Order: sequence, then structure tokens, then C-alpha cells
Amino acid sequence: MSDPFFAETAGRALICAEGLGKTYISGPHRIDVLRNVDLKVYPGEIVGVMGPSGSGKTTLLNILGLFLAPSCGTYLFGGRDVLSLDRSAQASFRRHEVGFVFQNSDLLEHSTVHENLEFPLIYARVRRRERRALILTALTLVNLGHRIHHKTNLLSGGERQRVAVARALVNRPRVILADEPTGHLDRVNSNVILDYFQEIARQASTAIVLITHDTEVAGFCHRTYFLENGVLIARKPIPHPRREVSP
Amino acid sequence: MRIDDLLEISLRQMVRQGRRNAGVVLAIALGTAGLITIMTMGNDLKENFNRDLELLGGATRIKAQLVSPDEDPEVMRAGWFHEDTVQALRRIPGVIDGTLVAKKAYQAQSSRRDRKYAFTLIAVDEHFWAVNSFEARTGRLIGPEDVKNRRRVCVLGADLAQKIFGHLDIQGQILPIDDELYEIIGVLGGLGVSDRTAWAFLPLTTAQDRVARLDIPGLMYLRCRTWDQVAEVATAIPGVIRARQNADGLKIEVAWERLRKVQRTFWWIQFFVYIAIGATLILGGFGIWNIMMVGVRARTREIGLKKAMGAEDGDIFSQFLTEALCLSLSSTLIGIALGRLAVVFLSAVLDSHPLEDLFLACSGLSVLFALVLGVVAGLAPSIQASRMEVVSAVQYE
Repeated sequence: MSDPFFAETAGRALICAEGLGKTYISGPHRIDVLRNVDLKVYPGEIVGVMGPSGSGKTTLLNILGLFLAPSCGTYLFGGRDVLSLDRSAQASFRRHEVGFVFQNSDLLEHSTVHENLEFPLIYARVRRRERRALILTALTLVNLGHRIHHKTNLLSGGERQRVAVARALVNRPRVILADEPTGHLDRVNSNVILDYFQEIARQASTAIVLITHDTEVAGFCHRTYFLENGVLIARKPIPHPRREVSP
Repeated sequence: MRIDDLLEISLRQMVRQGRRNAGVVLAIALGTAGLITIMTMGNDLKENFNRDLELLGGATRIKAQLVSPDEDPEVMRAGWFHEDTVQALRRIPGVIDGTLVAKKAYQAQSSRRDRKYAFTLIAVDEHFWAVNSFEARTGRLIGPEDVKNRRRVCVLGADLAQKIFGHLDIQGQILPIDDELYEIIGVLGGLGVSDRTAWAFLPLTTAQDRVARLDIPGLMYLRCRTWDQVAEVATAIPGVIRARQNADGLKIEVAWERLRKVQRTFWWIQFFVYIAIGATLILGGFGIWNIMMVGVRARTREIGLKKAMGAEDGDIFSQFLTEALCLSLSSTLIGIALGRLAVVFLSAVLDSHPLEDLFLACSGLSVLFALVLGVVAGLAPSIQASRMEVVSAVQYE
């Protein structure tokens, strides 16, 4: 990689993917969704992945979250080969290392904010009496502590996405994978969410991989990649008045 | 996942899906309530049938007789039932009552207003009426005090009373029988009276004192609690008698053909009732299965999300299975409560006292059945839910 920042911090990479590829075979057709993707993400870093629809952005995120196995390549997380994990260990990896934020917030409907944030803790076997404090901490970070017992279907779009961010954070993961987290939000709410991401990355050294179409959103990232026809291309950081200093 | 979390999540889900689950819960609850009621009250219902319905035609009545030499040449001399034998026969398990009867060998004579009447005279104890399901049409029947104090009282069959007096309101009238005077205390009624409407009845003790040519009491009728006990009681009678006295000329009569018909009829009634209850419960099971299958499809995205949050296959499997179990168990608990109400109500109506242990055993069986039903109905949907791939579940629309 020619990026000087990348080269300087190469030894401390949280995510180190090399030669990742994903190919679908449909009858006589072979579709290469990802081709020879190399990606390194460091603690506290916000990495943006841009690209047109169908370029393989979500596939890349699914592979990083171990939702999907790549057809080729290696993927080390914190120096550990996570592609060789069995189903149970993959679930454990998602429980402890990764937080997800989806485009539609994807909260559990007709449940309270508390219940939504409690599920990752339940699966992580966190004791009941410790959960409330963790949930409150995560909600406070997105300024929604007062909404803890509200039903999710009564929240606004911006609030729902903030709850989704809090849910991704509640287990204190080392990386947050966000698939167009501001895709359905207006500019004001988008900026709020992105500010939270910057805060999280700075305070907890949590890495964030963020998929977006929006160049303004990409401006919040420390580094940005562009995916085209399954090939990942590094881009220079996009200037943005509110972008934080690199870690 | 911890068991308390599992239960809390499953119960919460069940309550939130309350309307969708209502039909299934009702079906299983009613099926369970019916099953518990039938199983707990079944024996009492049989007893009630036996006690109140002469339609059974005496199928549960056993006749034990020590025949005389006149009836059986091989018998040396006529026997009679000793007092301890009578008591022992009444104590045979399955017997609810027994009566000792003696008959006058020849027709008794009476006269009123210069007219003479001949009729059959029977000497009975106070148990005779209950054993035969007879009731007083007017007045009262011979009671324990009449037998104990050897009272000179009599009961007439309705036809005989009509023939002699022209009406049935004859309590307090004095009637001469074989030159002895007796006070009439009542007229016999009841469904199965048949030819006894032309008979007269005296207390056994009184008749033994005053009636000439009265047979020695070698005839007993035993009434069984239900038709299920008739064969056992009939088998036990000879042994009970022989243990206490000479049983020469003993003849046991049971209306086997009638008994078989009653048993067959009731078996079919029970069979269809159980089939109906079973069908309700199986439909309830299918209901749970259907709810869970539909739930898995409708909640595909939720399953994906939970897996993305770190749920293992086992967590998803146990959550769906626990939901199915909560559904079947809560339905059954409602059914047990309804069954309890039904048992209390029927006990009051039938004036019976079903065993509490029987109710508890039935409730325990129902809970066991609910567990099996929940597991069977919830297994396939739970497996399907747990095996979902995260990526396809999360992207499911």
C-alpha cells in the first residue's frame, strides 16, 4: 500500500485481509463480486468504502462480519485467522468483537429500546445486574438515556438509528461494521450519527468500517476506499471541515 | 443463553403474539379440561349411571342363591346366608350394597270388603330398595327401624294397591295378610319394578316371625359400583361364602349378555369422547406447529439480526422451542384450571367425591403431554430457525 499512514501503522492492524475474493457460479456464468481485495483497518480508525450499487460493498462487509465465507484470501482479526472458525466460534466472534449497524436500523419491532440493547448482552452471557449499566452507558453515548423504556416503533428515524449504534456498541466491540448507516437519514441526523462514530472511534479506539454512497459521509472517514467491479482502490482522504485528526 | 432469559424472552413473545395464539391456546385448554374432567369424573359418572339409570336393566346386579332340594336334587338341604356371610359379601371390593330376600312359598291371601286377593309376598331388608333402584311412589319404603323393631308394616306394589283399594293414597290403612294385620306405609314405584307391581313386601324380621311357609333367606342380591366390577365380584362370591359357611347349592346369576351390551355401548361413548378430545389436542399441536412455522418465516430478519448480535444456533433453537413449550404449557395450565372448575361443578351436580389424587395425576399427565406436544410441534420450526444463514436472514425482505 502506498498510503503513508497505512505503512506506518501496518504492524498494529486490527483487520488484515489479503487477496479476498468472492465468486458466485450460476450455471455457466461466473460472477466475481470481489477480486483480490487487500484491506487493513486499525484500532480507532474510521474506514469508508464507497462504490456504486452491486460493486460488492455489502459482500465485503458480510465477509468481514463472518456472515459470508470468501472464495479465496486470508482474513486475520487481531492477528487471528478467523476464517477457520466453526459456526459456534463465528457467533462468539460476532458477540465479542463486532458490532453491526444496518441501513434500516433493523431494530426488533414492538420491543423496547432496553430489550434491543439487551440481546447482545444476553448472548454474551453478561449477568443481569451488569446489563443495565452497560445499556445506559451505550445509550448515554448517543444521548438516548431517557428513551430506554420506549417502544422502538414509536421512535423517529434518527433516534432509531442512534439506538442501532448504541446496540452495536453495547458489547464494547473492537470494530463496528456499518452498512450505509445514514442512508435513510437527512443531513442533520446523518451528521449526528457520524459525530457519534468519531466520538466512539476516539474514546474507545473502536475501528469503524463504513459503507456509503455519500462523499460527504466519506469525508468523515480517516481513509476511504472505492470498490469498482469487485476491486478495492485506496483513495486519498476527502477533505471535510469536521473531519477529526487521524489516530 | 441463561434459562431465566430464555423464559422471559419466550413468555414476552407469547404475550405479544396473544391474538394470534388465542385459538390454539383455547383448543388445547378445552381439550385438556375435557380430558381431565372425563378421567377424573369418569368413574363417578359410571356410578351415577349405575345408580340412577334403570335403563341398565340390572346389569350390575348379581343374584347369589343357595338353591333348595326342590330346585336341585343333588342338594341335600336348603341353605341360608348367615349374618356374617351377608356382611362379608357386602364388603367385597366393588360392591355398593347387598340385600337378603326371602319369598313365601305359596301365594299370600288378603281380603277387603268381602273380596279376597292372592299375591306374591316377599320379605326384604332395608337394603332391598337401593340394590334394585326402587323408590316409593307414595308414602315410604321399609327402613332399618322397621326391620330392627320387627314392625308390622308393609309396602304394596302399585297394581296390587290399585286392585285392593282403587287408589294409591293408602298410607296408614290396615291390610290383613294371612290373618295378620299390617299397616301400609307406602306404594312401590321406580323404573324397573315390572311384575313387582303386583307384590307385597314385609320387613324380613317381621315375616320370619309371622309368615308361615316363608322360605329360609337363601337369596341375596348384590349391587356392584360399576359394570367394570361385576365379573370380579361374581368370581369372588363363592370364596367369600365358602370361607364362612356351607355353600352347597350355590348359584350365581349375572346378566352377562346385558352387561356386555352396556360395557360395549359405554366403551364406544368413551372412545368417541377420547377421539374428540385427542383430535382437539392434536389440532392444537398442529396449531402450535403452524404458528411456529409462520413465525420462523415472519421473523426471518429478526433471526438474522440476533445471529448478527452473536446468537448461536443453539440460542435460536432453544428460544423457538421454549416459545412452543410456553405456548403448550400455558394452554395446558389454563386447561387444568378449567378442568378443576368442571370437576368441582360436576361433583356438586352428581353429588360425588372424585379422588383428589386422581385429579392431580390427571393434571400431571396433562403437563407431561403438553411437554411432549410442545417439543414435537416446536422441534421442526426450531431446527429450521437455528439453521438459517445469517446473510440470507438479514437480507430477507
